Amino acid sequence: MAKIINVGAEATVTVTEWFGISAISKRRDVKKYRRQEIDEFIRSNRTLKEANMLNRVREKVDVPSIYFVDLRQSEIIMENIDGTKVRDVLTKDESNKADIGRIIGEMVAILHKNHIIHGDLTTSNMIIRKNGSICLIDFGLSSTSKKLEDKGVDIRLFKGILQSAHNDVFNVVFNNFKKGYKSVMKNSTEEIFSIVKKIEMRGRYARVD
Amino acid sequence: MKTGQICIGLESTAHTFGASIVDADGNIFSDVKDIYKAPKGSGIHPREASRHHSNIANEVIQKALDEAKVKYTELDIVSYSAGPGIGPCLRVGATAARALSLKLNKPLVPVNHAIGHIELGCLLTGTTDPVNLLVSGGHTMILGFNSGKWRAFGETLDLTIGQLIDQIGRYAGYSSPAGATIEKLASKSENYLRLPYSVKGNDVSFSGMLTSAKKMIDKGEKVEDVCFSLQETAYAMLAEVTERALSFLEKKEVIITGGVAASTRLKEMLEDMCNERDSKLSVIPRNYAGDCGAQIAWTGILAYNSGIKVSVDESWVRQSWRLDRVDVKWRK
Repeated sequence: MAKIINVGAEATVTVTEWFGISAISKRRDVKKYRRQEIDEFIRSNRTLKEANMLNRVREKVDVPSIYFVDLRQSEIIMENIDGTKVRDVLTKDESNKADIGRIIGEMVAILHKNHIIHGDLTTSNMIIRKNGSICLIDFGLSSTSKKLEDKGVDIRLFKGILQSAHNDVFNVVFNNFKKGYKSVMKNSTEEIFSIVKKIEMRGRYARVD
Repeated sequence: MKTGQICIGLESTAHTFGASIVDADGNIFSDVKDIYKAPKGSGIHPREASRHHSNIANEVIQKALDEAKVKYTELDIVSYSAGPGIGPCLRVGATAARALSLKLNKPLVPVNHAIGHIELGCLLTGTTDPVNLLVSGGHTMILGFNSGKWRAFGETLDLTIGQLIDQIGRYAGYSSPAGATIEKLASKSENYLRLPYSVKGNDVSFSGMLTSAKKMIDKGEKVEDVCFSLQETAYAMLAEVTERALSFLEKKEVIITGGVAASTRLKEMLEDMCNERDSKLSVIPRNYAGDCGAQIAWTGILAYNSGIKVSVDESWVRQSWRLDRVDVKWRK
């Protein structure tokens, strides 16, 4: 029996082997709650998107290597990343929140500079490797866009998850995220971050202050 | 019969004027409401709705007291919905609450309407630490409680699910709130037409779906098919983001609150999702799903007992008052 290491919101991840190397299999599960035609479209579409995007960004940022893609099964076999999710590291006292924020900021900026939108920048999609590098996973909701608006939406999601799940360390992580982002993005950083504010203000019942 | 504190709650954020009598043990002795009905094909007119509320307020409050067999003088706390909502409507409830508080010399407690939906849901279903899917005309949010506040894990980036349903209902010529009508029409179809499925991370967006659905109606597609497809797509999106929250926050309970919690199809989908994750689904009972006084009265008691009150001079209403800004001192 394959060992299940994670049952995420949309996929089951099991440990497997690929020609002798330890690997993981990520299979997007059938969701009974949605109609078959919606379900099939979403699963194969996101699997394809994820595989394509991983391939495209692998020389730019740290992402898992892909070994095999089976669209009919909505399955990707890829590198087994040895590390801990940023979500779980941020709750520990000894972790270096400033560094984590900065590294994530740099990575996201590199993607944005190449007009790649990750689409799901939550802290459970970032894995810190033993050597300190942060590996970005789950590109199922990714897209390409030159619009600053889309880059803003990407950052807002990350900001939102910090506010809701990591409120106690929000300031240090987000400030350093911005520093890291700026070190790559340079001048357009302020403009993008002002768009983030605008997007927040569009939220229901948001107030100006 | 009634021993603990007795609180009257006044609700008037949008189309509903409600009054309810609740005690500190969570007994709801009465919950009376009267709903402003907009003309077919149009939405809530703030002036007309507030006029409705001021015409009906006395009667509703009196009825709530009568049904609860409580006299004015037996009230210990007066609470009102202070926001978020439609300004003129909010002010009717606030004015009535101020008058009661002054006349009876009892504390006045402002309540966040959305927090009211959640707390009443938790009270009635015995849920303690859930992922909350708050779905109504004013809200579409996925929430979890964390360090003193209900935090938004995800939410709509544009329309709420209630607005989506009501606007498509109005477009097809039905009166709002149109949830029940849409659900009935949808149950007559099995013919799925593809609509944009827009999940952006933990958030959802419905504006594209509204445009597409309107275009389908213009093109002469059957309204039943459009309603069916709209529900299937929109509710699947909500199920997906709720599942994401469950998974991320590592929780095992889900509660659906707000007016759209009355939807059978939404409940079905969430049930399927929860079953597969070994999680428990609770849904606020249908008669308390929509706006009601009980949500304000119960939250009023919780708030007052954690030290929240306001003097009449300093009392206020706030049209924009996000629930994730409220310090929830009564929860650990």
